[in-house]
Amino acid sequence: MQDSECITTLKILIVGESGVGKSSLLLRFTDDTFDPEQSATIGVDFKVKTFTVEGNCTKLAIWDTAGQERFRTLTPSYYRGGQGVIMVYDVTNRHTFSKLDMWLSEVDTYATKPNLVRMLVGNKIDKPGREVSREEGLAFARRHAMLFIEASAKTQDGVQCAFEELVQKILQTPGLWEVDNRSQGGGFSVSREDTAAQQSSCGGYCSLV
Amino acid sequence: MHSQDGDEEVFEIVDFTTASEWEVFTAAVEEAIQGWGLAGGGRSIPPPPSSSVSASSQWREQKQIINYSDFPFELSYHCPLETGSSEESSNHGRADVLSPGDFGEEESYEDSLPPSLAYIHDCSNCFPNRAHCVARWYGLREFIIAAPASSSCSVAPSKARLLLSALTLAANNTGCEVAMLVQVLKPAERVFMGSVTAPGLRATLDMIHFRCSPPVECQDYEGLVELISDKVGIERLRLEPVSSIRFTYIINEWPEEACWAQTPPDLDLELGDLGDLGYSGLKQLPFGLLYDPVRELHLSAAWPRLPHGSFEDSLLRFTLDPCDAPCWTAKVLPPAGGVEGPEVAGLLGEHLMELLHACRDERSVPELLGSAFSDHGAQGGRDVSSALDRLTEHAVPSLGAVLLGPHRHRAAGNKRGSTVQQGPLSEEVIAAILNFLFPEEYSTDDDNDSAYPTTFARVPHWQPHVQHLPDEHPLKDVCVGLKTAPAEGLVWRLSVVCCHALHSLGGLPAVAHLLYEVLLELRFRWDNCLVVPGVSPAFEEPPPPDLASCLLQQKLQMLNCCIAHRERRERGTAAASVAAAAAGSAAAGSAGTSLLGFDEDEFFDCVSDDDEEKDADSSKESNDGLMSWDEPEGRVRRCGELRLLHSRRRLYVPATQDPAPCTEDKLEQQAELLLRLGDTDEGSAMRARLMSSSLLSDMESFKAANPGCVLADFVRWYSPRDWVPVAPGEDLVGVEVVDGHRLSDRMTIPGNLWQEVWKGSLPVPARRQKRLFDDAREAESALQWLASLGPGALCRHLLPVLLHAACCRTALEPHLYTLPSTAVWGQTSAYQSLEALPPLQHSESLPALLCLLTQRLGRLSRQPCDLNKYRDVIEQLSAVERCLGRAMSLRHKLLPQEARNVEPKQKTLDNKRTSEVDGSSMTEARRPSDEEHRKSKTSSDEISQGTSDVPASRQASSEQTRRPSRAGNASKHSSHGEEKFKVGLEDSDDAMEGVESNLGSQFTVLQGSDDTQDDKDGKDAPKDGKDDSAVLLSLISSLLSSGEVDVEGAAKGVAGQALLRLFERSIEEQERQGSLPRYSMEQRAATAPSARRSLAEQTRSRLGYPGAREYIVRVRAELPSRTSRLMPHRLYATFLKGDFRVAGLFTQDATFS
Repeated sequence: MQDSECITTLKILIVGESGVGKSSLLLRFTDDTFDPEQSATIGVDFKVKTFTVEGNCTKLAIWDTAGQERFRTLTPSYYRGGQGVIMVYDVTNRHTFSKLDMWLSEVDTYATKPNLVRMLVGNKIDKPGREVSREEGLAFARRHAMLFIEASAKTQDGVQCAFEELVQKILQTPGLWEVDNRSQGGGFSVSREDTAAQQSSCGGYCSLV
Repeated sequence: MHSQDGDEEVFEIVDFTTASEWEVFTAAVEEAIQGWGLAGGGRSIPPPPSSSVSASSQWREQKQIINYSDFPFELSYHCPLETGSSEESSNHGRADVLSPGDFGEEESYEDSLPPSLAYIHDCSNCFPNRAHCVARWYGLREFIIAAPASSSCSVAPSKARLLLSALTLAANNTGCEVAMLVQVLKPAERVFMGSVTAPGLRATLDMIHFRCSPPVECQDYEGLVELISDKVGIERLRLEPVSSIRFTYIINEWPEEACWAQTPPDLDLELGDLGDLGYSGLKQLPFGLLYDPVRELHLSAAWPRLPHGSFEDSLLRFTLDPCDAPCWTAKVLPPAGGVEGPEVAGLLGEHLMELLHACRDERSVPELLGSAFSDHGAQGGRDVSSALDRLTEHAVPSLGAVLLGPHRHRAAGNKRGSTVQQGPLSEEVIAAILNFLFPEEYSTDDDNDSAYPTTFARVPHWQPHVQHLPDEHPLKDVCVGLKTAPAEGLVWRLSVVCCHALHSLGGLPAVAHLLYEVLLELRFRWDNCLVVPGVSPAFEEPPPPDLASCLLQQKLQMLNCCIAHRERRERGTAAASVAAAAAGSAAAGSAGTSLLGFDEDEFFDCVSDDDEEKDADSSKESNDGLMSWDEPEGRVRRCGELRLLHSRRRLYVPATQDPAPCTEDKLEQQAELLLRLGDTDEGSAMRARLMSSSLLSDMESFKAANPGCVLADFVRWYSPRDWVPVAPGEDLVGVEVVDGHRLSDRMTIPGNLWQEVWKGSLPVPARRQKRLFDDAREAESALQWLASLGPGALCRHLLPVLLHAACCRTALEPHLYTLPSTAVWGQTSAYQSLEALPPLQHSESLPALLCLLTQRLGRLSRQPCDLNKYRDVIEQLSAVERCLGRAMSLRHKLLPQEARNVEPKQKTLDNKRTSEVDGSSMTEARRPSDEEHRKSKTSSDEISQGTSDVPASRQASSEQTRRPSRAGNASKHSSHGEEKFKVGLEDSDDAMEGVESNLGSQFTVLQGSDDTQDDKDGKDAPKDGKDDSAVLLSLISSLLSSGEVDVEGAAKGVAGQALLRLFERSIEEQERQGSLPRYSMEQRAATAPSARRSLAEQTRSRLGYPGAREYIVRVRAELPSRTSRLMPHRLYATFLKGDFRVAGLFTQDATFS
């Protein structure tokens, strides 16, 4: 893919209880396919996709994590440097929804960027037997200042939209992604010189004595 | 101006190729004027200065460089920044502009004035605190200046006229009515001349500047009036000027008692005194200023509007007494470098800066100290010997070896140092530092205060009641976000020690030496299985590296993990005991049996007791090592009520290997490796395989603990959501269903990795599995990493930690809690850019600013190291430090009684504490919410103490009841302060039970001293002392916050009185020293007015001689001829020592000239 034209590379994580459809969402987004027999992720996996939002080409490295509790000792290390996190629950299973608090604190503990964008996705809306209403999801997202969308990896509803929103939000958040570019340019020192110049050239703002 | 050359061509070619430099310059200026939107007369008037905000009014500048030929000029446009709605301002805009009535005439000239001249007769803000000097001298509100772009160039007056004509032409061409000025001569002389053109008038602005005393004929007001009358050609008597006058008095030599400075810490002294391990200087960061941070105090007495004849100011007679002036303003100047130069940093700032500079050094230890200090040499010899050691040594280090360890090592280290080469640090210093960094853990010495705290937090231990600080550490919440190290831990101490080593013990080589010694110590500890102290809580299993802390801390934690792991491993193999199943966590095999017992209790009434007995027996058997291959092994506990699907035995959670602890750089490497596999399917499969090692280990443990189990059993423990209920009507061909559940689809896909791994796994308990964690390798890699650090790199790793420590150090200053955050900005922001810090609400306190700084530090600490940004944080911390120094100095100067209490000479530390009480009292006065909080606390204490019979809710009356009993001694304490003080005492008494019990007697000391002082200063101390100190403290805080402060009530107010006293003391001191002739007020009054004396003598007042006199004379007169309209004129003059300046603005009527 045309790396050179991408303005930045973003790291996005997908977390949530096991079996909520994290890998399926990812696969739907990257390959636009759905495999009902998607095997359970071991540890972490990732996919890369070049994605254009509003004319901005970005390279996304999306890390897919295993939801099993035992793996939770392995996966947090991959949270480092993530700019966005997608927290997935299964709308047909209340347990996956009630574990969200735990996942939130997990993200807060291990994420290194304090202002990373968090998105809540209620998956499997195509399935009958919904246990978590849209309103509950909304309320949770609102309380924790997250993006919210309901989706189905199977019918592809909302999947593209979810990633689009997330990337856009990350790009709009100052200081979340430019850092990489700026650290090379040293833009900061320039502004320092500016202020220094201002001081010296004016000389007029004086006190009397 | 470009002239259109005659013939109109068909193609309308306009030729500018022959334009002169002057024309090009004019055109460029015109463009700039257009660009700034100043063209045309119909612009809105800039809002007037309202006197309330005038002191802090900000100015806006727009700049552009324009070349005249090849000489660059800077064209700048200035106007006030107050962007309040313009409609509003036009309503009450010119309230204080002189109306024609002030001049006793009817005719109005105002309407004809262009906006830029509208304020030249404004009396409301005639001496602005901070304004461009052009605004000050000419009374202009907006203007354009052309000045040489380089400050070293000067413009000759003739050249300046040329420039000015270009500017005037440009203004004419664009219809711009803004004043145009040119800077003449050297920029430092600040001489400006200029003009204003508007329809019907033309104003000239001119200036005289002498670097000497003024000529005799214009030394006073009368002389200035004479000057102006000459200029406008009208005799003096007709002029009737309205004037504004301001005298400024200066203290720049403080009387000795008012001088304030801190004594420098003497490290040599402390280190020289090696007997008592008390190197407190090394253990803490220094704080404070070594010089008086207040260089000068300026007091200005102003008369904003003096009609002619209402006063006399001449060599003959002088009637203006500053003590009668209606307006007093005061300001303080910081020392050194002048106002515009950067200030000298305080001790803390200086130390921090040095570490920052050291961060840029890339040299290694051998490069700095020579090859004798290379790590290889040390390591080689050491490794061989320790390898042999390890072969022969008993696996369990003897108690004696442990106890003697550090001593032995230190002795060895010293020997090595003396035989090989002497480093920059002496043996004693190194020993002292190592003792501080690696204190004796088993020391029974109670007074060994070097020992690490047993638990760690991100903020140091806080003692509010002793130090009279807030109840909780103010940075407690924000420090959590810092990616640094635990407060007062090893890394923290190392950062402090490095900071001292850089500053006082020999710079970078000293740090290199220290690093070398620390490395030796760490290697020794690894070789001898001694846990490194101060890294994690004592008496606990070393936790895996905390990724929320800095890398250095993580590496040390890693080393400790390895040491603990190795010790367990060696003990385990040597004793061949079951006690330590090598899983590495508390959940080991033996723990399994005890837990099992617990389970039995809990489930005693379970159905199949027999079965359980059998289970329990078999597990015990297994512990005796008698089990056969299918005997269960490595059980931890039952997994709920689950039973194996086939055998129906209980399902047990196995002891598993913990994931290997890892530092963040290693994790990064692993992630990198996974990334390199690419995002193809093969890559994914490969990744899954790499990651499946822990799955395999878990499966093997599970099989060992649950003989006869199947994958579905494992899944029910490991991934319960893959054990799904069977939906009605499902096709169940070939699917195993138990209790209405089955394995999920994804687990039953043929050939999926879970099944494959399951098939390939053998029943092996965790402690017999291949190690996932190789302690020797990891420890070696951590040590290698440390050895690869140069001292500069070490400093880079320590910088965030040191700044963290510096923030916490600052939080210990009691004065911090008495000041608003504006106190830092007030003096600094004008000259230094603190922009990087987001603005605070003005109401917020200084601690809030410190919190903000710490938060910023937190963000920086999580990003890749950017030294420029750290420099900003350091500068900001320095600013806080200076601000606190200034506050202390001002308190010392203006609150003399209290200051005497603080005087360290013969008084003890106790008295120092009493002064800190005052500090906290002011915090309360300023923070009502806190006050409320404490009030309730106070009252409850009161009840328990029985000192007051008033219910808690009636706090106010209880204060009153108590007041009479303490009448007279409360002069410098607010009532809340007293209470807080009392509470503090009681609490600490309770808490310490006599350990520091003289706190109680402190109280009486305070009372006593205050009593005597009141007797002594009886006549000076005002009756209502409580309010006085509040007024003074608010004066201090506003002196710090804003450049210039209005003194309420001028000479008659409380603040004015205090300032007056300070001036009188200063004059007394000068008289004593003979630098000022003795002089009394009586003398002055007795002097006959007719006696001719110098003006200097005349102007001597209770404040001394004015250091500067400023006069603004405003007149109206017909110019240029008697038939012209009445035009406004303004003359401004300053008299300073050896500096005299007159600036005149004269308008001419262009219509009726």
